[in-house]
Amino acid sequence: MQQIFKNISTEFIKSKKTFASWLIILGAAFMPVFMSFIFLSKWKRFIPQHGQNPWSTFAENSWKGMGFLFISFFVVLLTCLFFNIEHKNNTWKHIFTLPVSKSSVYFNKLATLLIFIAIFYILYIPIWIGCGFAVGLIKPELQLASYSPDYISLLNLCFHSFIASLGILAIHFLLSIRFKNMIKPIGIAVLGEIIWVALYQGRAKEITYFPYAFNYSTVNPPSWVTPKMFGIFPQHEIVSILYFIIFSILSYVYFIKVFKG
Amino acid sequence: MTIIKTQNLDFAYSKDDFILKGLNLQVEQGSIYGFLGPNGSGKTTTIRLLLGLLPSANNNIQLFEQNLQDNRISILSKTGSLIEQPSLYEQLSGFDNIEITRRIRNVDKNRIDKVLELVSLTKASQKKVKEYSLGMKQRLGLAIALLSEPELLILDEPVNGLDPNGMIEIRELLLKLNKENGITIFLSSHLLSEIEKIVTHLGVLNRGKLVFQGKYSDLKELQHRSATIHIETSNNQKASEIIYTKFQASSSQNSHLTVPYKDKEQVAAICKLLIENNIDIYKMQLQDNDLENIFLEITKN
Repeated sequence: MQQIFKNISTEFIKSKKTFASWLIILGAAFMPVFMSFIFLSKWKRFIPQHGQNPWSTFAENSWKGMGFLFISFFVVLLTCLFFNIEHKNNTWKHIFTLPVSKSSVYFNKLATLLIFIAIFYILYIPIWIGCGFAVGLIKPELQLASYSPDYISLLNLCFHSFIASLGILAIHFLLSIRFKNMIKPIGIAVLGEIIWVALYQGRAKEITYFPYAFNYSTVNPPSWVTPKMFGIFPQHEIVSILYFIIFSILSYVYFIKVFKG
Repeated sequence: MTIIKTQNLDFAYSKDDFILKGLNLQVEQGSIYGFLGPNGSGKTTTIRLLLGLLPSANNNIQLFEQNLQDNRISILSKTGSLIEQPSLYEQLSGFDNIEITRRIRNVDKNRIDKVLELVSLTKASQKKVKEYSLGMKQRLGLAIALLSEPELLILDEPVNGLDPNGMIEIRELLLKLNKENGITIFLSSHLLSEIEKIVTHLGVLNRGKLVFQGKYSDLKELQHRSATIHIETSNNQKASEIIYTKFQASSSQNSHLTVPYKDKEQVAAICKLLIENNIDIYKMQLQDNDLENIFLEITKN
């Protein structure tokens, strides 16, 4: 167990001073800062009605922005950049000559990426709360400093957004192993996003099975799809978990049997 | 103990395109084995096979008298390697690069300072690797390979691209490691002159086949046997006839005679013979066939 932590810690060292590590921090800060800017510049539009908690509007706008394209692209870009550290430095041959099994290398990579995405949400929470209160202090009319955000709902959305991201994470995990050139996986992601927007515009029911749409479905469930719940998870999040399992198995087999570095 | 042994090792990327054919390597413990061959002869492929980076179809590679396929992790824990250009994280410092391997190999932290000192990189250890020269990167790669005090070092062209000073530094370091720590070293090169000063054994690879394998002294012997004496006299024709009667072989060219060299007594005897026959000697010169030529000859044939 201790060795597993040691091996994962090496992935953190490797990511030091890379764009991947900056992306986690900047990515977590982007939407709260952007939303703060919107709320400050168009503050009159966001003045709450009497007795209304202004945080709900701040949260709704932030999460819609996050779910629309931002989180999907963040996950795709982070996965590409994370693997690019090895591809660019040509370090696979060194990794494969260390006394570690290939499966350990695979699971260290996957676990690290999951931790990175979890860190993104962990950083997002205080930055978002901090930004909200700062906006409230700068513009008292918005009353953000007089109320408190719904912490439970915030944690809940972070958790479900994480689950909704697992599908594209696993797909792009495989693509980033397969293609050393980052442009290809990013191109596939752009195509995926275009298809998702088209499905949304066309009010297609298939949106429940399309992984690039899952994050938006979590923050803003499509009205034309009858909601189905499986325990605490809506249907598309279960599909996201299934994508994660299937594509993780595929990438594992590819990594062990085919990938030579 | 035989540290590396391959038996009829074949390798092909596609069905009929054999890169290696029937390779029988034998590297003894404590030796510095020079693995020579022209570019494209299959050296890097052999090294990749020895390290398990490429799959060997017939499971016939043994390291430390253990089968590589079944004992990969235990073998790699005793082996340090450097393949072509060292694999380094350019955005990190030299220290961090070593630290990554240290954590995975579970080596004591104080080894980092020791290996940095060994490769003379202590002062530059906090510098980013992208600011390192090629020689420094090569030395850092070597430091990483040495971190776990391996019993075997496998180095692919470790002095390739280095300036003469860099080459000397690496050669001296390898000699020291071999003598003081008893590390077996297997190193490849396409230039004999780069490694002839340190190797104890040699394997010469050409077009995927091992065309020579043995002690370096055996190759020296081959060099010795192919040495000739060049003689210029007042009458080359007559001198040639006289020498031929006594030493069987001599060939006369317009300007000089060529006699296969045996030993120094033979040189004295030829001298004496020519003087006795009133032939003036203008020049006698021993022409050692240099090892590079022998290497070229072996690989040509």
